[in-house]
Amino acid sequence: MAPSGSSGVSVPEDAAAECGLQFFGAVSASISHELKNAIAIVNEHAGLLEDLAALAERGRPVDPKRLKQTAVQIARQVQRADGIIRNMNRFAHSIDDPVKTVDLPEMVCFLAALAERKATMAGVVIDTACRDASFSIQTRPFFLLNLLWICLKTLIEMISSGAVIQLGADPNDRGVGVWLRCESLNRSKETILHAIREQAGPLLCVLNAEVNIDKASGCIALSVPKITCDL
Amino acid sequence: MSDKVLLVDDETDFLEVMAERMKAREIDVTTAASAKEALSLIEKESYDAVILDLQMPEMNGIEALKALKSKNPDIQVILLTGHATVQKGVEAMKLGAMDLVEKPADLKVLAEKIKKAHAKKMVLIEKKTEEKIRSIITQKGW
Repeated sequence: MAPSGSSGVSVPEDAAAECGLQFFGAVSASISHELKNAIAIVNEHAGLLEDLAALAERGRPVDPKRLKQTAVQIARQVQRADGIIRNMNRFAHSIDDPVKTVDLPEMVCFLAALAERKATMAGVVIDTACRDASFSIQTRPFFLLNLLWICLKTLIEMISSGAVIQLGADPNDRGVGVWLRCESLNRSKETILHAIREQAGPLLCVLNAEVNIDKASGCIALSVPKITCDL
Repeated sequence: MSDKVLLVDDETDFLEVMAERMKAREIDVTTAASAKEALSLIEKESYDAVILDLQMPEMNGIEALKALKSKNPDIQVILLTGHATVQKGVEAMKLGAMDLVEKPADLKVLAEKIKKAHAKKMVLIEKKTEEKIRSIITQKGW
């Protein structure tokens, strides 16, 4: 049983909650940067339309093709911003239910979407290998997402630019497993594993999860029970 | 004489439309989609100002600023950022950035900053020329 703090909440729970706040901050900051980029492009297109209108007022005809092109570019950025906001909304709601039945492969795909900007900034590509799979686990979804984020983030920070990270989920003997595979590591797998365990200690504890290097495949493998706690 | 600008951002849609609007204002603009490309361009050409996005893949704006300044200490760099914080501003200024502008940027404001960068560059060139002439006069003993 985990030791309790003065509030009656166990120490790993407290530490996991603090970890969660950092995670929330990191994802929110990344999302706001991405949105700013989309807004900046829409802003320039609005400015361009103003420029074209000013030219038209001075008698220079506006090419309808140019207007159409601008409309397409604006629509593209609106679509991009909509996708970012959808992810943001889903992420915000991931904390609604402390315990929930979730589709793990779907969560892995969502994680890849959340980490896309971080990966792009590092020149890394995330390839999810579980798009068609579907199996559920009963877990603490926000903490699990946080744990997966730490694994992926640590790997992104420790691989060379141009690398591909493969990410997938499978049922295993213990319950379910998430694996991360990359060939272009610039640190040893043990160093990466140590860094993950150091950051995610409280999360591994509250989720009753394990992170190891799979000897057969060489992947970083996260193992989680099918039922972490009761609903 | 039109201002010569190098615009650096990994968002190619942003580069295209911003460059089009700058050209309409008679700014001589060249674009680069990465810091690496920008670094190779400044070796071949001289610019009045480099407008540099702070958040780019592989080499970010601060690293790129350091690299640009080490290649040409007189280069005038205006940083573009999604979120301009005091901390970031101070860091950029310490590294020699001329200014920091938050996205979405107002082109009018940016154009004014480009003019200032041009003026600053001219002052630096004049100062260097003056120093050169003074050195020649001293050496020749006229």
